[in-house]
Amino acid sequence: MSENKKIIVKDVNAFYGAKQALFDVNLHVLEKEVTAFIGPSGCGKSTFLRCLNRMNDLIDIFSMNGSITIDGVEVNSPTLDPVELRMKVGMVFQKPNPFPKSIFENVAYGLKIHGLTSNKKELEEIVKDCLERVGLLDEIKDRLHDSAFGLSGGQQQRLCIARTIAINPEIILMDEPCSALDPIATAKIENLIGELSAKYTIIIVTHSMQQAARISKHTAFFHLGKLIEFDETTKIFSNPKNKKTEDYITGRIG
Amino acid sequence: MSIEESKLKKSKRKLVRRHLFEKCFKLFGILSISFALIMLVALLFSIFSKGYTAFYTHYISVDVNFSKEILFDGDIKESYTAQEIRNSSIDGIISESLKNVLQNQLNIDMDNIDLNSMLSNHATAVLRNMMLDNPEVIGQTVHVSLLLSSNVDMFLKNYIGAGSLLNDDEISAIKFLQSTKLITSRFNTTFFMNSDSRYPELAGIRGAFLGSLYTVVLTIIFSVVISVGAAVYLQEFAPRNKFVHFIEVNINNLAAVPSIVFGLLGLIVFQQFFGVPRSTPLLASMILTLMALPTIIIASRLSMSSVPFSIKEAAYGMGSSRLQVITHHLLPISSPGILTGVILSISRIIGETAPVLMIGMVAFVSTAPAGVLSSSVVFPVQILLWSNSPEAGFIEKASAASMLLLMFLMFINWISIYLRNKWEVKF
Ligand SMILES: Nc1ncnc2c1ncn2[C@@H]1O[C@H](COP(=O)(O)OP(=O)(O)OP(=O)(O)O)[C@@H](O)[C@H]1O
Ligand SMILES: [Mg+2]
Repeated sequence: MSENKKIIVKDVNAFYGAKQALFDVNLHVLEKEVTAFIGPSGCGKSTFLRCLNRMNDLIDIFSMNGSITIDGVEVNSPTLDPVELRMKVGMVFQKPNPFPKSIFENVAYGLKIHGLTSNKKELEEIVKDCLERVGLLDEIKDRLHDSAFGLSGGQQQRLCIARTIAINPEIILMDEPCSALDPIATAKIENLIGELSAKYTIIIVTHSMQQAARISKHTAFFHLGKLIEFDETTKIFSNPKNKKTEDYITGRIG
Repeated sequence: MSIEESKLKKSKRKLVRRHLFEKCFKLFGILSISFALIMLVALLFSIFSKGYTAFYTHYISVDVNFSKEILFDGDIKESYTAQEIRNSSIDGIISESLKNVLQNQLNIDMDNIDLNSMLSNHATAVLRNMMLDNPEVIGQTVHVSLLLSSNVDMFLKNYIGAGSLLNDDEISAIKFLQSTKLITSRFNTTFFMNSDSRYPELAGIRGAFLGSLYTVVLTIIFSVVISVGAAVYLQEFAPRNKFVHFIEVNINNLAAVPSIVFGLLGLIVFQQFFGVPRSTPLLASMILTLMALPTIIIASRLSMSSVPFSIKEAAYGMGSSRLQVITHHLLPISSPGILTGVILSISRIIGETAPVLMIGMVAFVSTAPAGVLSSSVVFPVQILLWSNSPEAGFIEKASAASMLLLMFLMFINWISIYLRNKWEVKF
C-alpha cells in the first residue's frame, strides 16, 4: 500500500454568508484508501466533502479560504476548471439521484459528455462493465433501457456509483451513501466500496460507527465545524485521544 | 350524564354538521361544473347549428348548348379568338338551357328570372374557361354543374329572409328544379380552396388559414426562443439583485397589459420605426410574440425551478458544464411545463383580434398570402369581417370559420397534452 498523500488540506475555513461552517481544518487523504468522516449532524462533514470537488460553487453565499491540493494542484485555483476537477473527483450523494433517463443512459452520460469513448460498441461495453462492477448487471440485464426510476433505492444508489466510476475518477466522494438503504443493500455497497478502494481513493461520510469501522482505514471526527481527531480507524475506535471523540463514538454526544 | 358522555355527544353533533357542510360543498362544486358545461354546450351548439351548412353548397346540373348563334350573336365561323370568346354572350346560353328545362312550366315567366341573382358568376367563368381551354366544345351540348348564387343557396338552406331577395318566378323555378333533382348539394370545396371574396358563395378560408398558420408558426418560433432564453438567464445566470428583481416584476406586469396596447406599440415601433410591412404575418407575429412572452417566461421559470436540485447536483457532480446541465437536464425535464406555457399563450393569441386590427390586417385580401411578407388576414379577423357583412351567406361562413378555429385549437391542445404526457418525468 502506497503512503502517497493524494489530498492535502491546510487551514481550511468555510463560510455560508457570515456563518462559519468549518474552522481551520487540516488533514490529508492517502491514495487508494478509504477515509471516513464522522461527526454529529451539522458539524460540517458535507460542507468539507463538497469543498473537495468544488460542489459548493453552486451555493452563492458560500466562501472559503485555506488550501486544498489534489496531487499537488490547488483545487480553488482560478485556472482549474471545475469540470476537469469533477472528472477526477467523482461524487455519490446521500439520496440516490439518478437522471430521469434509462439505466443505460445514466451510466453512458458521463462517458458521452466527456467524450471518453470512440464508438457505440465501446460505450456499451464500458457501461456494462461498470454495471457489472457494482453488481447490478445481472439484476437488470433485460431492462437496461428502462427508466432508472424503476429501480429500488439500493439499486439506484449502486447505479449512481456505476455512473461515477464510468468516467474513471481518481477520487470518489460519498456523502452518506447508505443512509437511505436497508441493511442488505448497505452490505452490498460496503462490499463494493471495499473492492473499489483497490483502484480509487474513497472518502465516505457516515453516521454509522460500525460502517466507518468496517470499511475505512482512516477516520476523521468533526465536531461543530472543527476537525477534532484524525487517525487510523482502529486507533480512533479503540483508543481515542480526545474526550469528545470518545463521547461521540460511545454515543454520548451526537 | 358524565363529562365523557356529554363530550361524546358534542363531538357527534359536530360530526353531523361536518358531513352536512361537506355535502353542501360537493353539491356546490357539481352545480358549478354543470353550469360551465351547459354554457359550453350552448356555445358549441349555436356555432355548429349555424355553421355546419357552410360545409355544403348547391349546384345546378343542366345541359348547356354552346350555340354559336347565341354566343357570338349570329357570327358563325370555324374558330374564334380568345378575345371573341371572352366577349361572348355566356349569359345567353345559360338562360337558353334554363328555358329548356323550364319550358313546360307555364306558370313561370322566364323574363322575370334574373340569371345574376340565380347563378354565381363563377358559373359564367366556368363556361368561359371551358371554351378557352377546349374550343371544340363550341357548337356542342355539354352537361355541366354550375354553382348557384348565395341567395339561392341560402334560400335552399331555409335561411329566414333569404327568399325576400328572390322574386316569385325565381322561387317557383328553384322549387321546380329542386323537385326534378336538377339542383344538388355537394361538399363545399370552394370554402376550403378559396380566400375571401366579395361574393359569399365564392368566399373561403384558405387565406385566413394560411395567414393564421404563418403568424402562429412565426410567433411560436420567436416567443419560444426569446422566452426560454430569458427564463434560463433569469433562473440560472442572473445575479440576485434589485435590478433583476425589477425585471422579474415587470415581466409579470407585462402579462396584464391589454392586447390593444401591444397593437399600438407594434404599429409604432415595428411598423413605423423599423418599417416592417403592414398587414403581414411577420408584423402580426412580432406583436403577438410580445403578448406571448410573459406567459411562457413565467411558466418556463416555474417548471425550471421545480427541477429537483439533486438532479442538477448529480449533473454537476459528473462534470457537466453549466450549459450541459441546462441543455441536457434542466430544459428536457422542464419541457412539459414550458410546453404548457406555450400552449396557453398560443391558444390565446390565435384568437386575438384587437392587435392585428391595429396593424391593418382587416383589409380585404382575396388571395392567399404567398409568404410571411405578403398581406393577409387571420382567422379571427376573417370571422369578424364576415359576421359584419349583411349577406346571410357570410354569416353562415363566419360560424363555420369559428368552428374551424375551435377545432384547430382543440387539435393543438390535444397535441400538447399528448406531448406533455410523453415527456413528463415523475420523481
Ligand atoms: N446551503 C447552506 N446555506 C447555509 N448554511 C448551510 C448550508 N449548508 C449547510 N449549512 C450549514 O453549515 C453547517 C454544516 O452543514 P453540513 O451540511 O456540512 O453538516 P453535516 O455534517 O453534513 O450534517 P449531516 O450529518 O446532518 O449531513 C450546518 O450548520 C448547516 O446548517
Ligand atoms: Mg451532510
